[in-house]
Amino acid sequence: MDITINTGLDGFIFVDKIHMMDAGNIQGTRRYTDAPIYLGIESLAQLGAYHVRFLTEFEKHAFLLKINMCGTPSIGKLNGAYSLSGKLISRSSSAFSYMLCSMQDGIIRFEGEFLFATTDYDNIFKKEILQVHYRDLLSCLKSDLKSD
Amino acid sequence: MEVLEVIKRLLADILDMEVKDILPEAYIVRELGAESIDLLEMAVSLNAAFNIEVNDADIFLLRLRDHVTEAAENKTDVVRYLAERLPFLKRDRIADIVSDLEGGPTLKVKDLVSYVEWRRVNG
Repeated sequence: MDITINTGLDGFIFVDKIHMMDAGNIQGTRRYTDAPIYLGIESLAQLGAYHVRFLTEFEKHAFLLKINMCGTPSIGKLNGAYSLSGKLISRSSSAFSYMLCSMQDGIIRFEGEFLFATTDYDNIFKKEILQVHYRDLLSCLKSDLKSD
Repeated sequence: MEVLEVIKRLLADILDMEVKDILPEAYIVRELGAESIDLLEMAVSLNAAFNIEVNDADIFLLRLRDHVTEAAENKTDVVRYLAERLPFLKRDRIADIVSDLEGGPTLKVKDLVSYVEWRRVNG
């Protein structure tokens, strides 16, 4: 039986562009229009997960395990362009801890410690689909051709 | 601060327990109630605290029962077989683990200490 989930959103990619990525850091941007706060947190989670996939060379499925100490801003909605950044704090063979931060106009709006884990692809998280999908997606987000 | 004290503090923080209740002989899953997510959080915490590489499968004995089965299939002495694959554990500890398998997950706090100390020497 197929199940259709309607999120009410236009899509489920909440990072517009990735500007920089190295072994320990990742930076990107996202522009919001009257977006609820939790979508800002989702952007940070996606940014961190992209970096985990980059580190594991897309050989593993990556997922968010836990968020520690993520304060939410007092503003009700997110509007305008936000700079997203992530720094790898520590890692093991299959877990990755990041400090992820969302800034606007040079001011930190919210940040938190995000814990990600990786697992082998399987029948549910299929390698032949997800590996290509995320590799292409990351390539697109890093491309100068991607518009804001 | 010695390795054991740091590990006790990390476990206490992750498991929301008192440091005094975490003893070297405590079973991490059986007695302290750690779940897989807690173990992964512990792994990254150990990496940060001691600046060591942490292999989750090794430190948390995740392949222990597979190794025991392999030793039986190969008709190899199980303690020797495990000692080759889990070099951070002393042989008497491995013997204890083998005799304790039916009781459930055998990982103890002191095993984490052994792993960290072994990593610090062997990289």
